[in-house]
Amino acid sequence: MPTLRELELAFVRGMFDTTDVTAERFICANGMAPAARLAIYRNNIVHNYREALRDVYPVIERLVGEDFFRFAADRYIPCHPSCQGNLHGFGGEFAAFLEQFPPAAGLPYLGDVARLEWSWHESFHAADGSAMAIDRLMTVAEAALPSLHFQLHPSCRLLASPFPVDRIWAANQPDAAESVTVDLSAGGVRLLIHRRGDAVAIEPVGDPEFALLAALMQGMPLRGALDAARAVDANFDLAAFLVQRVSDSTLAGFVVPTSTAIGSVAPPGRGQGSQRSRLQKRDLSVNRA
Amino acid sequence: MPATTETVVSHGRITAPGALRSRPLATGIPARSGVGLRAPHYREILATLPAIGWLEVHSENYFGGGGQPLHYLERIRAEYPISLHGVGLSLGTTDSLDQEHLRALKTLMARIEPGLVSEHLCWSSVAGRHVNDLLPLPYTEEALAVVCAHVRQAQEALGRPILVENVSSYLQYSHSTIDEWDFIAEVAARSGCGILLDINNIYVSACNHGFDARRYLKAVPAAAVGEMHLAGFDRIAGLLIDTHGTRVADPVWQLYAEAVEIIGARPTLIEWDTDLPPLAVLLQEAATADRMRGERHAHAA
Repeated sequence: MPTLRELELAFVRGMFDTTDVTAERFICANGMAPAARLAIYRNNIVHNYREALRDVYPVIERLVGEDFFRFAADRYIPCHPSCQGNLHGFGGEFAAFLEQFPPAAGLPYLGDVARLEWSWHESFHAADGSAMAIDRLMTVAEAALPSLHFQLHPSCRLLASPFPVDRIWAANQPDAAESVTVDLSAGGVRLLIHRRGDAVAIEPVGDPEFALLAALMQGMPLRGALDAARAVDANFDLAAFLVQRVSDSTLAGFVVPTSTAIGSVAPPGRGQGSQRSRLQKRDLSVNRA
Repeated sequence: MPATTETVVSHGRITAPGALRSRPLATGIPARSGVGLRAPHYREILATLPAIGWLEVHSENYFGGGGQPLHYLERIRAEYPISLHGVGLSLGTTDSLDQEHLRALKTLMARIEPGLVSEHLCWSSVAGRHVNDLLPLPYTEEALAVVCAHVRQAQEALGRPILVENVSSYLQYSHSTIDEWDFIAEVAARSGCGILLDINNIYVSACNHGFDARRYLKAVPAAAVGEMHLAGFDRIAGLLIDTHGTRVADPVWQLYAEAVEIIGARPTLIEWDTDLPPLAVLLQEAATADRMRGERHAHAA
């Protein structure tokens, strides 16, 4: 008689490796072979994962066709175990899998299209961020601005690709026009995937802004992030960035480092004209120290 | 831009924030029929506010913590009591319970204030690997101890009793020593949890394994039964499979009528997960359950 642990381990092994028949020994035949009974569970499990992948990757399925998608999914599923009870977490490595999948070698953009779909999926389910009023940013002393750590909205994801994956994605939506053709040699894109209201938006952004957002996402203070942007474009307009990304909630908050917190907040109602208008372009000169 | 408007826009709410609490929240689940809430029906339910007692969702669909799913659930919650039904906690695993999963559920409970919280009498993971399916347990003293310890831990972490649902099964283990109905009764007695009695699952398992479904109904402690489920099954290769993709079958309606006589009137859910039909079909099924429960309960009294 197996312990519960032994039974569970053998059962799961047999679900993904049909040569492992250990669990059959623990099951009553009762009019139907144990192998056939276990196969019902195996089929259910694989079916559930296949459907989960189809839900997250409809564009990939449309690009490669149902049969190829199923063929790829059935090879992905056994070697990419689910590690949580929430099925929405399944499928995150499908992009890397497709890039290494020899039968898909002729479609080099598949991996990044899959990355875009996974980003969309994560963004759709992500937590709600708190909205940041631009007024709050305007209470920060100008000298303290470079040391601020900005928090991006939980729904923000970034994706850089050498392929026009946003156009490939758009051309393969259910409501897309039939005759769209995408020029694969049209060049790469840098994308910000984020929620606007309840809808997920896929927004192309310029190289400097992408560098800045990527640095903020890594937890860099504004100073370092701005350096990254200005390494790409020395004239990058920080003020315009802040106004746009606070108002569309990409920037969902900021933390003032403790060492500069005291005295960094402008006293209210004292007519701090130059400080209160720092979000205008002329006043924004963050030191690149 | 006034701060309040900004908040509304950033959360994408169509209604003003105050509208979410426009009426007192009913937290209990009434002994009426409810239907499973699925994304394709969100808008129709909000637009038509059908006369159903309550709605049930799969908890894990809202673990992300934001966006459209939570937005709609909160708006629907403002109109109906909600039951949170989990499919992924894996109460029967020999691993320790997934604390992150419990935390996500607790966060969702704080936000939705559900009338009922339920899970399944099954296992779905071992050694950190999940199969995201409801696998049957062997009915042994060892499994009983594992499940009871996990139910107690879950209830402690969540701060309230949960209901545990009988699953349908396509196999039995040769070393089981306890009948399923005695097993689930014992789980309730030892852990203090309630029972979510799935009438379709009893029927499916009774046919697959050749036991008497009425014996099951008589063996479970009526006082512990806090909810019933009804769903459709399919017949595949000589077995009944719990597909949740069709109308409730006649023999399951019959068994439901008997359950109401034996156990009493309980909140009853029409479950439908695959090949989702128009909302009207779910509402018809719910109305049938309401009518049947009314007749049988009166008859029993």
